[in-house]
Amino acid sequence: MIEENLKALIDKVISDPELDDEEHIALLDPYLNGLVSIAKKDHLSESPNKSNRRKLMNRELDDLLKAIN
Amino acid sequence: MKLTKLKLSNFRQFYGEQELEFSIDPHKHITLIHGENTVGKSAILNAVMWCLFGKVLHNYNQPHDLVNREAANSRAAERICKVTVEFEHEETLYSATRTYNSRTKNDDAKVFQIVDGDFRPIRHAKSLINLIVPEDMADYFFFEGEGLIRMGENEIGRDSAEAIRTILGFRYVNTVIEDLDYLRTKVRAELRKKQREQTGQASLIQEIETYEKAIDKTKATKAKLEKSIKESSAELKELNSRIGQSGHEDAEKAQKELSRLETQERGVKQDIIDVRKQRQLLISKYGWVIFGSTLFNKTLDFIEQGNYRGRIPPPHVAQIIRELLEDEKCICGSDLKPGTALYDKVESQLHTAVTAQMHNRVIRATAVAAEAKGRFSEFLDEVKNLERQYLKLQTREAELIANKDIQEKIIKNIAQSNIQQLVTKKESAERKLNKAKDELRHELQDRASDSNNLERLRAELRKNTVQQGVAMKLARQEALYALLIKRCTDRLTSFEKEALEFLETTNNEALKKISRQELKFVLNDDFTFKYLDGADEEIGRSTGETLLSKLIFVSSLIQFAKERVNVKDEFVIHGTIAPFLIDAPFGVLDEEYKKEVAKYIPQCTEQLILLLSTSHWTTIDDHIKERIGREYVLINHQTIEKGERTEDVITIPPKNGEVYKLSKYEASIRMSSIQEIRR
Repeated sequence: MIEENLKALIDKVISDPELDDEEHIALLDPYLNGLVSIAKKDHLSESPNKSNRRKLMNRELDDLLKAIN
Repeated sequence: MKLTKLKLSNFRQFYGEQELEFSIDPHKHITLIHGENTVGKSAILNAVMWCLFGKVLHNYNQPHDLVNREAANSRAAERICKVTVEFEHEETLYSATRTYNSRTKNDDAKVFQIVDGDFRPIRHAKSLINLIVPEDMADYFFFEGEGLIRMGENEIGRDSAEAIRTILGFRYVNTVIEDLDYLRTKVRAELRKKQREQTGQASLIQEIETYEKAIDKTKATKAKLEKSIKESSAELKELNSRIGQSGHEDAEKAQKELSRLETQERGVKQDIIDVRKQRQLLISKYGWVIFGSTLFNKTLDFIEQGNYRGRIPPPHVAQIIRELLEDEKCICGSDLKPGTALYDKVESQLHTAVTAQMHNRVIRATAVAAEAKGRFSEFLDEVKNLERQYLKLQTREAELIANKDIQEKIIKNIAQSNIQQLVTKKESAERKLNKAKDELRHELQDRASDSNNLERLRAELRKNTVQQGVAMKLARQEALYALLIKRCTDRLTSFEKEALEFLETTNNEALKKISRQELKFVLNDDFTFKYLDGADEEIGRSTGETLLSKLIFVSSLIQFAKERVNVKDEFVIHGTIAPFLIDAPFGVLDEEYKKEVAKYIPQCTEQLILLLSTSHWTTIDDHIKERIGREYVLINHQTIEKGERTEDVITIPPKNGEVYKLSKYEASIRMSSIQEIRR
C-alpha cells in the first residue's frame, strides 16, 4: 500500500516538481531512517568505506525502486 | 553516563600508576580537582577524551607526546602509556582502556563490560562509546575554559551552527544527502543517454547542460572565495589583536574602541537585514489587501452610497413571497387566488426577490470589503513603522562608520614604525577581504535563479521522456533520489528550528539568573547570536562577558542534549546525559560572575568535574562546597632543591582549613601525583 502511494507520488513529482504533498512525502521517512543508519554504521566502523556504503544504500532502496517501477 | 574512575599509567606528567574516583552521588555530584598551572589539570581532561575517543583537545601542547618523559627515558621497555576510564551507563559498568606505544606508534583501545568483577570484552567498542556519548558531542562536555575565550567573536555564528548540527547528528544525514546526490548523478547520466536517443530533446538537454556547467563553476568559485574570505578575516583579526596589544597606549585605546564599534556595526547590519525581511513579509501578509484595495474600496463605496443603501440586496425577500402565496393572502389583505392577475403579479416577484443565501453573500462581501479597508490602513502603518526603523538604523550605521573612521585615523596617524607596518598590512587585508566578498556576492546574485531553472528544465525533460521502457524507469529513479534529498533537507531545517527555539529560551532563562544587567539573547536564523540590552540595543561585550555568554551557551547545549535523551527518531541522533568536565572555566570572569556561574553550572548536569587552580576556586568554594563529593589535589614533584623558593600550599576549606603542600622538592623523579582530600 505504502509502495503504491509512493509510486503515485513519484509520478506526480515527475509532472509537478513543485509538489508539496507533506503527507505522502513523509512515507519516505522509514527509508531515509534506514539510509541514515547505514551512514552511522559506516562512520563508526573501524574502517569506513564510501563505496560499500553507497552500495548498501542502493540496496536499501531496492524494494522502493522495484515498487515505483 | 557517569564517570566512576580514572587510572593513569605513565600518561604525560603522571609517572607510574595514579588513579582517582569521581563522585557519582546525586546530591554531591561535584568532583573538584585542584592544581596549579602545568601540574596536569589539562592532562586529566585530555586523558578522559583520549581514552574514550582517541583524540585530545586541539590546543593541547605537544599532542603526540603522551608517554611520560621520565618513563620513556629511563627504561626503553616502558615507552607505553595507558589510560583507563571506568563509567556506568544505564546501571551497567564499563571499563575503557587505551594504550599507546610511542616507539611503535601503536594505539590500542578496548572496552569491557564489568559483570560481578568479571571484565567481558565488547566487540564494537567505538560504536558503544558513540552510542553513549557521540564523539562529536564530546567537545561540549569535556572542554577547557581558555579555549572558549579564544573562540573569536566572528566564529560564534559558525560555531553555534556547528554545535547545534553536531548535537543533532547532522553529519550522518549530510552523508546520506551526499551519497544520494552521487547516486542521482549516476542515474542522471544514464537517463541523459536515453533521452538523447529520443527526438526533440536536444535543445532542452543542451540548456540543462549549460546550467549544470555554470553551477559547477560557481561551486568551485564559491569555495575559492570563501577560503580567501576566511584567510583575510583571520589575518585581520590577528592584526587587530597585535595593534590592541602593541604597547602603544593610544593605539590600544583606539583599537579597543574600534572593536566595540565593529560589534555594534555587525548588530546594526543584522537588524537592517531583519527589517528588510520584515518588509518582504508584509507583501505576503497583506498582498491580497494591497492588490485588491482599489476594488474593495469601490465596492464598499458602491454599496454604501445613499441611493443604494437598503436596496442592495432588493427589499423583497423570497421567503415572505412564498408564505403569501401559500397563505393566499396579500400583505394588503386582498385574497391571492391562483390564476388571478394579482397572484401572477406577486408570484413574478419571486424572480427578483432575494434569497437568504444571496442576502448572506452580500453581507459577507460588504464585511470583507470593510475588513480589507481596515487591513490596508494597518499595512500602511506597519510600512511606515518599518521605514522609520530602517532610516534610524541607516543613520546609526553611518554614525558607527564615521566613528570607526575616526579611530582608524587615530591609529593611522601614530608615527611608530611597527604600528605603521600593521596598519599597512591591515589595509591590504581589508582590500582583499572586501574584494572577495564583492566577488562572492556577485557570483551568488548572478547564479541565484540557476538552481531553480535547472530543476525546472530537468523536470520538463523528465516529463517529455517517453513514458515507457528504461528511460521512464530511470526518470522515476532520478525523481525518487531528488525527492529523498529534498525530504532530508526539509527535515534538517525543521530540527534546526526546534533547536534554535530551545536554545534561545534556555539562554534567556540563564541570563535572567546570572547576568547583572537586563540582557536578551537573540539567535538569528543563520545561527549568529547577539545580546540586546533593556533598550533592545546590541551590546559590546568584555572578555568576561564573552566567556560568560559562551559558558551559558555550552550549558544550554548540554541541557538540549539531555532533553533529547529519549528521542526515538532514527533520522537524527538521540541526546545524551554525560558528565560535564571543565578545565579552568572561570578564567577571566570577575568575582561576582564566578559565583553566579558556580551556582548555575551544577544545575545543568548530573555529574560535574571541575579542574581549578587555587585563584579560581577560593571565592567560589562557599557556593559549591555542599555539592562536592570527591576532592583531590595535584602535587608537583620536583628534583631541584627547595632553597629560597616559596612553598606552594592550599588550604581546604579556604577559611581555617587544613593546609596541603602542592609541591615537593628533591624528589627522585619529576612528576605529578594525585592526593585525595577529605574535608
